[in-house]
Amino acid sequence: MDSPPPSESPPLPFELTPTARRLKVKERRQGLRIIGVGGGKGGIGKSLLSASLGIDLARRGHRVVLVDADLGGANLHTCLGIEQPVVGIGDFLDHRMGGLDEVMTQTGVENLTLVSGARDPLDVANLKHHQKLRFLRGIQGLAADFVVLDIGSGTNFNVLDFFLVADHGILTLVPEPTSIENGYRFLKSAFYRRLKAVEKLYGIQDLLESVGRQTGATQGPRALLTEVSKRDPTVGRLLELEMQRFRPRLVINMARTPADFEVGDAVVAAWRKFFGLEMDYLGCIGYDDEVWRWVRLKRPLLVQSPGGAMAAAVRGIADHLLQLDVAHSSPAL
Amino acid sequence: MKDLSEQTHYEVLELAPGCAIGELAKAYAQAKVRYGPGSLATYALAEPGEAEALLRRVEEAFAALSDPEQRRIYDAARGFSTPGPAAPGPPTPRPPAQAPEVLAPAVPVEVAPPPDPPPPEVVTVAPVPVVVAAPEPAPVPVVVTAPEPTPAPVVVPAPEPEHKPVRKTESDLPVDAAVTGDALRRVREARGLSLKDVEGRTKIGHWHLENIERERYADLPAQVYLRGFLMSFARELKLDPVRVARSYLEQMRAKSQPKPE
Repeated sequence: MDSPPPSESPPLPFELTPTARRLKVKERRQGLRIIGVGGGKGGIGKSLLSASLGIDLARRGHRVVLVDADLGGANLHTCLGIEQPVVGIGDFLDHRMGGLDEVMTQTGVENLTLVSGARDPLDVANLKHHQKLRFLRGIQGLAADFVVLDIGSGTNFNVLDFFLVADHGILTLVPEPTSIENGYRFLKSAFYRRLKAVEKLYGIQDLLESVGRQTGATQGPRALLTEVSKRDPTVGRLLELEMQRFRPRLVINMARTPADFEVGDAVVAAWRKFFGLEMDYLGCIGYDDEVWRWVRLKRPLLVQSPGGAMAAAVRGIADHLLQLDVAHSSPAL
Repeated sequence: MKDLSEQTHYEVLELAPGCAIGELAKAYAQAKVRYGPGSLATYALAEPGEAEALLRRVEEAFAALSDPEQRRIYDAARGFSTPGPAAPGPPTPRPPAQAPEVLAPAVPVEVAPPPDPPPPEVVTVAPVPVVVAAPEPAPVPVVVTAPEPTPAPVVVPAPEPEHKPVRKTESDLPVDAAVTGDALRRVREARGLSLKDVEGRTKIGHWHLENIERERYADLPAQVYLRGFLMSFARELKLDPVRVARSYLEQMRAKSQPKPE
């Protein structure tokens, strides 16, 4: 499924860059799919969505590992309603444990295990580069059908790389200006970060640098593409393919009004119109006091209320995701 | 990844060539909401001027495609097939609902020398009236033949005389109307919500809500809070929060003496 790149320096025939090479990470276990749940902003339900998706997929019989990649802000165990795990990512990063599979905790849900961040050292958010690579490699070596990465907020490189390593990068948004603003910012940052990884391939270092200098990266992909195509149409065509492979998934959370339920489609359209790229809308989760109550009780919602509205919404999202998984069973995002 | 200037009318409206007139009207109304001022989905995404340019294209596309004759010419020039009964013979009876009085006159009975075939992608901004907020006289978006489920709660009594009928989209307030306390009350009542209902959903005390509606400016909280209240209130009423807050505060400033905030 995933063709590991032959070497560090990619040979010239611009075959599509596999996920792995983007991040210079070597191996991906056969059959493993990675779902990254991000969104740029805190408090929009990323952890709850990660936990819920994990539970749903595990219930379908897939082997799922939840990884709390919100380094320094880990709380996935709380969303799952389990005690603070005694082992976690920190032990792996400190080399006390050799593999991520050695620091997994059972969650009480069949087929679902957790790599927790609860016992992280306090400075874990400032992951060193080699630690990050080891972590990413560890994730890609997990023996599972799905890994669900709960990604923290912000747009630092660690966050972006966790998002980019995923086959399905999910952008979580709440229908509020703050969340939308951070969400777009997050996606743009991830997009340019991804291009950065292949800039030499396409000879666009100088262009990307000029983009980077402008606050907010105002130069959109279209302008970039036009510029590159002017220099070399073939390279431009390849760059366009590369860009099209950046295809985030979208989940709208905490929708309250009927208009909120329309926001997902509108975001997809706006992203296409103004940024020129595609996005797949997975679904919308309505705001529900029941959710809030279970979170307060530290109980996993999908276990407590499998027939509830949120469980149904998550099921729909997972359905959609699995369909896309079949549709694009290539190693691309 | 086509530039806006290279997109066809259909691509602008995200429709397939050959779509029905009903779809066209729906796509048009949707585009106006999605890319219009105060849309959540475009917030912090579009560059200054981009949204306006897109809306101009949307107007243009709708004007051209909603007129059967213009559309036929447009389609023919690009090799698209025009759907349905748009036969060039006798003018097809339009849907009983009033067709949009687009720029072109009524369909000519015999196909006269067609009014200049629109060149491929020259974007003539000329005939389309204005950008966004101004009350466009021409295309009433509600052309849809099938009656829409929600009969437009004719809430707004159109304070200004020349208002077009209420748009059946998200906002029941005319695009350019000032948002007064009274208008908010009327929208709320049209939605069948009591102040207590809104209080329950927004957690804003009903006395604040009432003060907002009655425009008792002196009793309202500081502007930072008020803005938040207005936005939540607007959201409950399915109005555009940004616009409501801005317009309300503007009027408040205008009506009351400039008081230090």
